[in-house]
Amino acid sequence: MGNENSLSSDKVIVAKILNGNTQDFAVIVKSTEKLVTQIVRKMTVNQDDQNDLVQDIYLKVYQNLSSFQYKSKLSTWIANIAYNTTINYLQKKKIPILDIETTLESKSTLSENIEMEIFKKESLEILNIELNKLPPLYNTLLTLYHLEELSNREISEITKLPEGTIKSYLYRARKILKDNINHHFKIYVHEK
Amino acid sequence: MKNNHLTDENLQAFLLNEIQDVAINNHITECSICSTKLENYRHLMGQINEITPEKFSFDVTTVVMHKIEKYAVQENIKRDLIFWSTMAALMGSIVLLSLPFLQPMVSVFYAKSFFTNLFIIGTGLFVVIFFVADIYKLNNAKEKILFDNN
Repeated sequence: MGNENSLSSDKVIVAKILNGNTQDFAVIVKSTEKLVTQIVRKMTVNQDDQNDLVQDIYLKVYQNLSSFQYKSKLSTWIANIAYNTTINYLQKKKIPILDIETTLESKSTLSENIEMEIFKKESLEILNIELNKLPPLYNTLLTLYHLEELSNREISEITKLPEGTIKSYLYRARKILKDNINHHFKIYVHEK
Repeated sequence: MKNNHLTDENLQAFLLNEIQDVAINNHITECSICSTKLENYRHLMGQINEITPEKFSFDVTTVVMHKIEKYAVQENIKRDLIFWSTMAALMGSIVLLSLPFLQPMVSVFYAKSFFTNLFIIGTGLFVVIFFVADIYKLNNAKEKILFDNN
């Protein structure tokens, strides 16, 4: 029922935009910006690039709106465009989406500064730091699953990865996260 | 003994209710190592759910709508340009094709009196003005509908 409502409201808003009411596109942006923000922010660091990426993503959505076939929710379709655009950006910048070592290296300046303060911070902040150290794809998948509360099937529609792969990546991501957080606390206790 | 412990995947799946197995449940109640691991995962997932979603330093809707409106204006200009270029090309072709017929057409006026010519030209002008006025009126009505919809 909820899906049907969302589908019909998607159809109404898309029809309005396609009839030339450009201003109605703001409704789509407002309803999907949280999801798009999570994808872009989890996979990129540079603020200027994030600004460009968000504009590119929504421009692609606007340009291709007439080809949207309502096979999925509009938000899922937009999230898929956001994911693909961000992946293309990472590939252009030669930033690996799954390589842990390189990802840590690329954020080493951030980590070094943070390491100085890390033991004084709350566990939630440690979790945030460890999340940011994860490969972009793992970080995005965890965010979509836990924060956006999307199912494995919905994440699969966004990323076009098989559900089994998503499950396996999520298991691995949580394990890395748990081990790294435990490691942090061990150092913290030892230093104390 | 090590092999008897539950895997991290099993523990996570059990916690997320992806698997419901009595054997796993029994093992967790008996094995302190696995139950500690499970508690670690429970705590971790609880913490992830507590994270405040990140935001951009800029207003997404403002930035995006500025870009979209700019794009829409450019697209309209492009569309108008294509339309008027096509119309100009069409008119040009009509004039070019009708050139051989112009001479005989104009010669019609030579034989008539001044008033007859004035009458023919006046009627022609009147018809053209009527069509232009009608097109202008229709265009205004269309603009009004579009404006009301917005």
